[in-house]
Amino acid sequence: MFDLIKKIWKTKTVTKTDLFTDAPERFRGKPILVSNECTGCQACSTACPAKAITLEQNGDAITVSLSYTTCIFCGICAEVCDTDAIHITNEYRLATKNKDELTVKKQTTVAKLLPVGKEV
Amino acid sequence: MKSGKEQTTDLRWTLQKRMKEVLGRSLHIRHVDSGSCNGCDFEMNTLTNPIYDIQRFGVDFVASPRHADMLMVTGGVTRHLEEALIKTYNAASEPKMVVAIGACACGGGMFGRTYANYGGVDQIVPVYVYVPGCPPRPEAIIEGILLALDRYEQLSRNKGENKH
Repeated sequence: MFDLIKKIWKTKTVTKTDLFTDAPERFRGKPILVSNECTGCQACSTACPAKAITLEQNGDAITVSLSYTTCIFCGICAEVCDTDAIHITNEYRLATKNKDELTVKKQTTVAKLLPVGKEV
Repeated sequence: MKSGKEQTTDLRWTLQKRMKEVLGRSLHIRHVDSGSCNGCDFEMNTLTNPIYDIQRFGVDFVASPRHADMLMVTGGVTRHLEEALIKTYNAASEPKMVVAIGACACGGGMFGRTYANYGGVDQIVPVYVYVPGCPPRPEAIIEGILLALDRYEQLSRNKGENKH
């Protein structure tokens, strides 16, 4: 009897008391377009399995549009990006009443890559 | 017992409070599978398990749309299940709150719009709240239910103003 009570005391309750903490750091959540370092290489839009990212290039201006309604949060776009223009965050609370809020657009200009290696 | 501070941090207590305010009774949900891969369905199942125990806050999953206030739709409506979705929607009692769970139900997801897939629940029935994610976490689903209650409150208030 005493052992049983001791065991219950140790285990406490299964039900979580505070659920709404942040997701673990490595949780694949909302991808965000962060920096102005996009080179317009279209690696992300070709790698995206759900075709959630589209790139439109007009001269030097690029429009990146990312739709969370089709995104499957696989993180391939962030993996593929050379200049880290897309980041995966652990944000997961995306529920909205308005569908238009779920499409993000960002306009940037083409970043020029610094020359790599020795000059000949 | 729970202290006041803890109650405010947990969304589930807010859910219980809001349900009393808006509906005045408990909320019954009917789950409609319109061609999903079962990922979102598993996440919805976890809402009733001992960890995310939302049945004790008055949310229940029922077996018939005639008993339900809310429809939770998963999957981007396939051609074969379109009829089932429309029938369920017509059979549900007012208020017909529809919550689209998962990327497929929100905008097609992996499958997109093809001859066999409509690409989104909003192509067929009016949707209150979109919960994207592949699959969404149970916390996100609870937040979706809260937003649907908000939307219902807004709509019912507008209706009341028009009547008087």
